[in-house]
Amino acid sequence: MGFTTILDILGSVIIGGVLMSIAFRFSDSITERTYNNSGELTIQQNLATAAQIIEYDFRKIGYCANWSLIPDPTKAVLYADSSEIKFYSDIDSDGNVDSIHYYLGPTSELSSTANPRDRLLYRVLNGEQHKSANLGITQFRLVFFDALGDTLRPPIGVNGGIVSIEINLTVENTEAYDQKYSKAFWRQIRMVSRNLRNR
Amino acid sequence: MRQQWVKFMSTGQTLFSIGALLILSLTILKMNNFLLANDSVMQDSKLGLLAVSLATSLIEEASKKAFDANTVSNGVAACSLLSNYPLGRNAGEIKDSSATFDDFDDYNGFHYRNTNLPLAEFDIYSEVYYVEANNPEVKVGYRTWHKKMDIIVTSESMKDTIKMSTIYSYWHFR
Repeated sequence: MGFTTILDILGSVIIGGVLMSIAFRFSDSITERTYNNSGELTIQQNLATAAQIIEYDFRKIGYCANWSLIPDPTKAVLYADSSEIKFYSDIDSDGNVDSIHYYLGPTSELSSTANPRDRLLYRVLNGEQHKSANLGITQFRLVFFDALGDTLRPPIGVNGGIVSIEINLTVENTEAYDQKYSKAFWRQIRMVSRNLRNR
Repeated sequence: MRQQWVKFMSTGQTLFSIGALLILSLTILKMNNFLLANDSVMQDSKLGLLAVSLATSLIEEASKKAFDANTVSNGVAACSLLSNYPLGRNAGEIKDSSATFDDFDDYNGFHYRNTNLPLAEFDIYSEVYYVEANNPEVKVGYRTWHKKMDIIVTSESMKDTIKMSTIYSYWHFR
């Protein structure tokens, strides 16, 4: 075995090593992308679902199929805070008044997930057992406006003059590759419940 | 003879190596391209969600206004009493400032640039026109009880344009 052969072996080992390194890094990158992309898809689906439910409920604030049960829709919001709202509505359009309570739970409830910011968004219908699913919600912020478009300072009680609401919702992955959490944001600016019109 | 054989062999091995490296490079490039395309689709759908929320917000905002400038404080009983073309702002209403608008058709020709959302800046355009109840897709040149609003949301960061529409009809309690 001559010097050239040894040089050949050394060269091929180096090139092989470089190729192996590229292959490993590439594999790692593919795994990360696959993980993140499926996570991204999940958060977008979760965000759309949460937004759909919230939009449906909030649109019906102050509505009742039997209008005489909520004669003054401006008093339909019982309590409103920056991440909590309680209101009257007739969600299933059966002519009975329903009370709906949305509020955000503490982060400590979801300490089992890797994401330190995710929380449960609760929806309580008629004071029943609260329901929630971990959709990775990290922000549920409400901003309230009066008839002139001015911001109202929460907390706001009954007959607080709320005409429109800005809903900010952020959803993140509950688990992420290498702590790189994907985020999806949704803002329904000044969504007006038609039944809250003061005109 | 042996020397020629060795030379031929090493040329063949070099060619094989070059070929293998070429295939590897092409594979990596293709995979990279695929990943970037995937990211682009993901980003686009994320921006699409925001664009839809902006369009529905404008629909909500316009829907809380009066049907027509002539119905802000009083009702009307005939189409001829409604605002005629060209629809748009009335006196005292500021261009592209929806807070000053008092009726639905003030949003005709409206443009707003939203710069306070994360990820991207969005441009929102709207157009309002009269439609007939039995054919709401087609703009009509005369006054009816139904106005249609087309909203277009675009962004330089977005490939597609979001277009949404709503119809606002006039009704009056007597």
